[in-house]
Amino acid sequence: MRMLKTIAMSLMLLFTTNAYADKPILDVYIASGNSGASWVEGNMIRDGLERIGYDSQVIWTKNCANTVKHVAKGGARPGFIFHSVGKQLRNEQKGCNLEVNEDTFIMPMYSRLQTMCVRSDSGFTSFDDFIKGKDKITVATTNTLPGGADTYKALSDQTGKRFVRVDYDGQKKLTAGLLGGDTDMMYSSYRKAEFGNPELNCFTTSANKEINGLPTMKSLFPNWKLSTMGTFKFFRAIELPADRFAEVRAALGKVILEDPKFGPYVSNAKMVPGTEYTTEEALATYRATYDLWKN
Amino acid sequence: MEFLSSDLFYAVAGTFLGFLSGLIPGVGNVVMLLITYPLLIDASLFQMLLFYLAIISSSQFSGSVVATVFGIPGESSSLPAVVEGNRMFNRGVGNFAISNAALGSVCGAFIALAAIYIVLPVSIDLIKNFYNNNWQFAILTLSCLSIIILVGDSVKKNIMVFSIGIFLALIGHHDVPWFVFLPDVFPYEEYPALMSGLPLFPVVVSLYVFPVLLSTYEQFKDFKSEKTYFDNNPLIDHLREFKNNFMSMIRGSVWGCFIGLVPHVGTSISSNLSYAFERKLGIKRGTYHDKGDIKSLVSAETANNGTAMVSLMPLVLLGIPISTSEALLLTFIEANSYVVNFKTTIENGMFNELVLYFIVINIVCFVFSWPLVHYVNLLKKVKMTTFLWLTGLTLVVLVYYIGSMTMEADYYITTMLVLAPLGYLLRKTEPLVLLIAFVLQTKILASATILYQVHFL
Repeated sequence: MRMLKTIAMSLMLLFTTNAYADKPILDVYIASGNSGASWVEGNMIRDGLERIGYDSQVIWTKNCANTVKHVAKGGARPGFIFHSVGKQLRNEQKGCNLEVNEDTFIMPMYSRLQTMCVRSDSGFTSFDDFIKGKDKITVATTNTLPGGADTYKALSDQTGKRFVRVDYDGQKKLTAGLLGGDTDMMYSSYRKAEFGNPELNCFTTSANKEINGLPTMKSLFPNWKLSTMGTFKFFRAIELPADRFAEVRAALGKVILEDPKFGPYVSNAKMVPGTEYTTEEALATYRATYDLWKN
Repeated sequence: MEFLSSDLFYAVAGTFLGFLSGLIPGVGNVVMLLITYPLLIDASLFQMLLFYLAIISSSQFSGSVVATVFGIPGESSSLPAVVEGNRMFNRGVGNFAISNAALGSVCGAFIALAAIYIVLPVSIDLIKNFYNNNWQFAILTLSCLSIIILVGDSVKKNIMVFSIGIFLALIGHHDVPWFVFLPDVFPYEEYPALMSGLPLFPVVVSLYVFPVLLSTYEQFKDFKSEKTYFDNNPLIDHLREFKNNFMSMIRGSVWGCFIGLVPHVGTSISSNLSYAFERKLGIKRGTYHDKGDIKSLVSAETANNGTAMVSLMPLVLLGIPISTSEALLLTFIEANSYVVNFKTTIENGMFNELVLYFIVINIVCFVFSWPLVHYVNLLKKVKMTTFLWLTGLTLVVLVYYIGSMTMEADYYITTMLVLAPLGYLLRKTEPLVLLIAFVLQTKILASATILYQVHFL
C-alpha cells in the first residue's frame, strides 16, 4: 500500500509543484519508529506548518545514523529533527552525534512532567505510611532513563529503605508491570494515561508547584537530583541557514500554541510548551539536563 | 484510495492472499505475511489482527484442496488430507473429500469460537495474573523449551539453532541489560549500522524462507499430476455425506480446541492426533476405508481449523505468540508501537468485532471455495517450482524496498546476502526454531532482567 501511496504522492507532487513554488520550506525529520509519539507529533507539526503557509514534508529517517547519512548525501531540504535529551545521549552512545549548540538548537517543543504512582488498591495514604514495614521498594522505570542502578540512591539514603530500579521497555509495559504486581511503585511520565487511569494512584509530580493537588517531588525527596527533572524535547536544525532561525522559532511557536491539533495536544497533557522558555533559558535547561543524565 | 485503508480491505486482501498461500506449497502463512508486510506498515492493530486471521482461516480451505487433488502437503497439518483425501480423489470421490473437509473446517472454527466464549469470562480474571512478570517468564521459558523439544528430530540441533538465533538478535542490543553490548566482539566502528541490530526482514528471508524454499524445491522439482478434478453431485449429496460424518467432526473439534494451545506445533499435532484417533476408531468399528477414509479426513480438517482460532488466544490475551507466524505478526505489531493484550483486544470490544469478521470470512471461504475448486485443474499447467522462484524473487525485491523506506537498502541487502550461506547450511534443520529465538529474544531478555531486578537485587 505504501508503494501505491508513494506513486499517488509523486503524482500529486507533480501537479502541485507550482503551488509550493513560493512557500518557505521547512521539513520535519522523524528519526524514530513510524507510529510512536514522535511519529504522531511530527505529522501534527507538519500539518500545522502547512496550515500557516509552509511547504513542509515528513522525512522518515528512522534513526540518527540515517539522518546523518541523508544530510551527508547532499540535497537535504531545510528542516529540523526533534527528540528528548535522553534520546540525544543514547544517540551519542551509539556513536551518532548531531551536535546541539547555539548554531543548531532551535527551541524546546515541550517539557513533560514526571510522576510517581502506586496501584490504587494499595491503600496508599502517605508516602511514609506506604514504605513503612517494607525493606525493599521496587520501582518500575523505563529502560531509557539514564542513571542505572543508582537512580534511586538518594531515596534510599533519605528513607533508610532499599529502592530498586526495575527496567521496562516502554511506558505501557511499565504500567502493566505495576498493575500486574511486579513492583511496588512506578516512576514515569505524567500524561493522561497516568492521571486519568483509575487503577493508578499518582501521588506526586516533578513540577515546581502543586499540579492537580499533588505535592512536588522536591518536597518529598529534597536531595534527589531527578525531583524536578522532566522530559525535555527540543527542535534541532537540519540544513537550516542561520538567518532563518528567528522565523522558524516564530512559526514553531505558533504551531505549539495555536495549532488546532498540536496546541490542545500539549495543553491537555499538562506539558509546559516550548514557548515558555527564552532561547537562552532553553539552551541552559538542555545543557543542565544533558549534564545530569550524562553524569 | 480510502478503501485501501479500510478494515474491509484487510479482510478481503487477507482472505484472498491466505487462499493463495494455501494453494502454493512452501509458501505458507509465514512467507505470505512477509510478502504482504508493506500492506501492514500503515495498518492499525485491529487491521493487522484481522488480516492475519483472514490469512490463517482461508489458507486452511485451499490447503486441503491442493493436498487432496495433487497429494501435496502444503504444511504438516495437511498430511491427513494428502493420505486420505488424495486416496479418495484417486478412486473418483475427491469432490466429497473436499466438500466435507470444507464443511468440517467451518464447523470446527465455529465450535472453537463457542468454546472460547464459554471459557473467556473465567479466564479473564486468571489472565490478569499473567501480567505478572513471573508468569510471563514461565510461559516464555515453557514456550521456548517446547519448541526445542517438540520440533524436528534432534534436540541438540535445535539448541544449537536456537542459540544462533539468540546470538544474532543480541547484535546491537544495548538497552537492557548493558552487559550484552559487545563492542569488542562486533565491528561496530567499521559498520555503525550494526548498532541498531540486525533488521528482521532480511534475517527472516535468509534464515527462514530460503531454507524452506530450498527444501520445498527439492520436494517438487519433478512433480507431475495427471488426474483431473470433477464434481457431478448436487449439494444435497454433499450435505447428506457430511451428516454421516457429524460425530467425526465433533471429535475433531474437541481435539482442535484442546491441542491448539500447544506452542508452535498445535495445528500439526491436533490435526494428526485427531486423524490417528479417528482412523483407529474406524479400524476398531470396521468402518475404516483403506482407499481413502472420509471420517478420518473430516476429523483432521475440523481439528485443523479449530486450532487456528484457539491458538490465536494467547497472543490476543497475553501478547505471547505460540506459532511462528504469530511471532512474526507480533513483531510487525510491535514495530507499529501497538501493545496486544486483553486490555487492547478484549476489554475495548475489538475481539468481538474480530469474531464477526472471522465468521463472515469462514462463510465466504466456504461458499467461494466450492465453485472455485473446479479451477484447481488450472494449477497443473503451472510448474510449482516457478511459484517458488517467484516467491523468492518477490522477497528479495521486498527486502530492498523495505530497506529503502528508511534509507537502509544497502544494509538490508548486505544482511540478507551475508546470512544467506548460513541459511543454506541450516536447510536441514528446523528454521522455525531460529526464527522464534530471534523474534522472542528481546522479550526473553527483558523478562529475565525484570525477574533478576525484582527478586535478586
